[in-house]
Amino acid sequence: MDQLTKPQVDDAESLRPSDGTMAATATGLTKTYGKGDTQVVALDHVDIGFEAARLTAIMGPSGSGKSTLMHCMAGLDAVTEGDVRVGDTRISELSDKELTLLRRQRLGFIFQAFNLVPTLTAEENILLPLLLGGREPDPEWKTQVINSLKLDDRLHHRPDELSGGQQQRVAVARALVTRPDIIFADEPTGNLDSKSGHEVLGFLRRAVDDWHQTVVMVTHDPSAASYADLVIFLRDGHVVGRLEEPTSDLVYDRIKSLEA
Amino acid sequence: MLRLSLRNLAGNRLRFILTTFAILVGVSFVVASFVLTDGLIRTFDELVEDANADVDVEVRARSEFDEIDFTLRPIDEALIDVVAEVEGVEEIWPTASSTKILPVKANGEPIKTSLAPAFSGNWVDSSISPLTIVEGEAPDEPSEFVIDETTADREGFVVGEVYDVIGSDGSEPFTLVGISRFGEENALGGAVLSSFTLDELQRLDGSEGLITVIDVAAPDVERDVLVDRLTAVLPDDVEAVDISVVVEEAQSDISDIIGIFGNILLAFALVAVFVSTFIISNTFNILLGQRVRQLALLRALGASAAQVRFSAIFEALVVGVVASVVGLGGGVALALGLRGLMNTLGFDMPSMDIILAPRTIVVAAVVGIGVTLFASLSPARRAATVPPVAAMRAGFRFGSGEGTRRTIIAIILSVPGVAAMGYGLFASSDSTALKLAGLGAGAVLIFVAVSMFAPLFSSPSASFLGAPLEHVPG
Ligand SMILES: Nc1ncnc2c1ncn2[C@@H]1O[C@H](COP(=O)(O)OP(=O)(O)O)[C@@H](O)[C@H]1O
Ligand SMILES: [Mg+2]
Repeated sequence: MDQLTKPQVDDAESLRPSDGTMAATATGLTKTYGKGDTQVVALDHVDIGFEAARLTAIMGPSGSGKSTLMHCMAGLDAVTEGDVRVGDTRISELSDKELTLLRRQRLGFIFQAFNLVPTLTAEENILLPLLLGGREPDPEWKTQVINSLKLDDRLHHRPDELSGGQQQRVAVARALVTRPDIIFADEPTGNLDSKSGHEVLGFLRRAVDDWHQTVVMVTHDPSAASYADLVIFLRDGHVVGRLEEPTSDLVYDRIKSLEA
Repeated sequence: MLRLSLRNLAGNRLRFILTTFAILVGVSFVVASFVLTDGLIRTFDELVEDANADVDVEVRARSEFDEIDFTLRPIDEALIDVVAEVEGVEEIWPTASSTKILPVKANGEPIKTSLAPAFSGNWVDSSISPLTIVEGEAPDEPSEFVIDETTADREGFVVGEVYDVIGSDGSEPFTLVGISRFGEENALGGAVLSSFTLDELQRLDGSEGLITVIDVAAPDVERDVLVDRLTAVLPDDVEAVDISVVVEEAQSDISDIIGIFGNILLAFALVAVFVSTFIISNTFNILLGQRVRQLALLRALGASAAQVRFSAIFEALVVGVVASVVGLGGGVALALGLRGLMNTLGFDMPSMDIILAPRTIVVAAVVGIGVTLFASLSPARRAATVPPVAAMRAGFRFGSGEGTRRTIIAIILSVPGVAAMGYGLFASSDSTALKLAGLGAGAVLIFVAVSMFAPLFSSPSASFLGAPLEHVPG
């Protein structure tokens, strides 16, 4: 419990690679919104790292800065202060064009909602990051991803013809098809019933285990977090804890103790 | 990205049709004004050419200035004999015309000529005149006359009956001996046309001894030679002119008249284009606002700002191309419709060839594609500014951006814009071309100004203009 009152120590610990390289790191990451009286400090000098080939969950109360952290780490939003790296690339130094390429080639995204372009078919949505770069998919990999997500008979459907779970699976397939360095998922199961949710989480888990993908996932749900290798807890823009080998019960207990 | 643009259009088919329709109206008007004027000009050109096919040289008063002059000074009829004496001349047709003669209906009322004037001429052989006899015969005796088919039908003139004819010296009875037809359809634009013998026409007009022109046929003589021979015997104030010159002059006079009519249509077209540009620009802005999340999603997934901008412009391009192509067809239909409308209103129009001149097609494309692209530029630029985080954060709004600078530029542009428009609409003198140029330039300036203003109140005006669109199911 001592750890929790000294978040800085905890951060330092999370920076230490336990067994592999870091897919992405942030040092002194600060993000503020607004100015003067209305200024909100969403992230306050956060040091954090996401280990490659692992599934990391980020938890914390609403407004604790989880989404902001993901956006900043993924180059979707500019940081106010600090240093963010994806692999060896310092993304705070990249131009808009370079960031675009980084997102297209090295990152994957799964959002809570509005993941898919409504006018494109499932297959076109899956291939979108490749199409944007004028690249052809690796046919074997494409088939493997689509089959393992059980989407082969849904490829020519529009998103509105798919169930919520199917839509999220399409989003997962899209994130995987480019074999990105890191996949960011912001509450990917937030809108799903628990069965579809667990299905999607199972796929993310398999992507890490079978294909050594790196996944960072924001979630509210302790049972979702239990799929992760590591859970990082955020509160008020600070990292306030971490939990290896989480189970639903352990996560639940930790949340309780953090709220106390 | 292209596929996505097409899908967006296909996915919002009704909205696409409405957007296209807005620009289509302007294009159709532009095309209609060209098709109508081109068609009418060709019809009249052919009429003038056919009517003068047998004539080689025309003898007429020399005009002081090279101006558009429909009323030639009359010449002395004694010249008929002079011309007839010239070597090689085989046939001559002296003609005279009058606007002072009006036949009276059987019930004693003069014919109403509110739509177009009443013309009278001496009857000349059909080989050099667009007039043919369709019933009865040509006037041969002093007390005989013929009247045009349309007037006869409308006013109830019957061949063989006697009618009073008002001349410059009171009225007297004439026998209607025939019905004439001008060209193939007697399309006189509503004018009343009556024909008499030359002597009677001169007497009724009060211009005894005077004629308008003498048409000369001399098939065995070179025209230059004939012109020289005639010039040698004619007084200084009378000239002999190669008929091809006369035909060209007549055709250009007709083109000018039809051109004025066409320019009025074109002014309508300009207004339509102006309005549709404004509507389109706003529609694009609305569509953009509705698609913020999708644009942001694309940006998050790795679409570059340029790709987003291009996809917006490409969508506009498709709208523009479709509007141009359909507008060409719509313009032809509108031209025919306008012709029909004129006919119902009593301005008889001849049927005409549908001429799609290359110029018409180019202008349709420039208007349809150009205007749509132009209207899409600012929304497209704004589309590219959507930040990728907007995909996940609700409530993203486009900033009005450099508000004051925009306002100032908009005001600076709108002042000369309004001035130019006002000049084009209300200036009394000057050439039509200049006025139209003013109208056009004004419209463009005002449009640019308005479109710069638009983002400032894009939400109120957009929701106003977009209100009907909002209920269109995607
Ligand atoms: N665009 C924004 N403008 C102003 N404040 C924001 C914006 N985005 C997030 N915030 C604020 O930053 C803090 C962190 O938000 P967020 O990262 O979305 O939290 P979480 O995802 O953990 O719920 C919150 O206080 C939120 O209100
Ligand atoms: Mg969030």
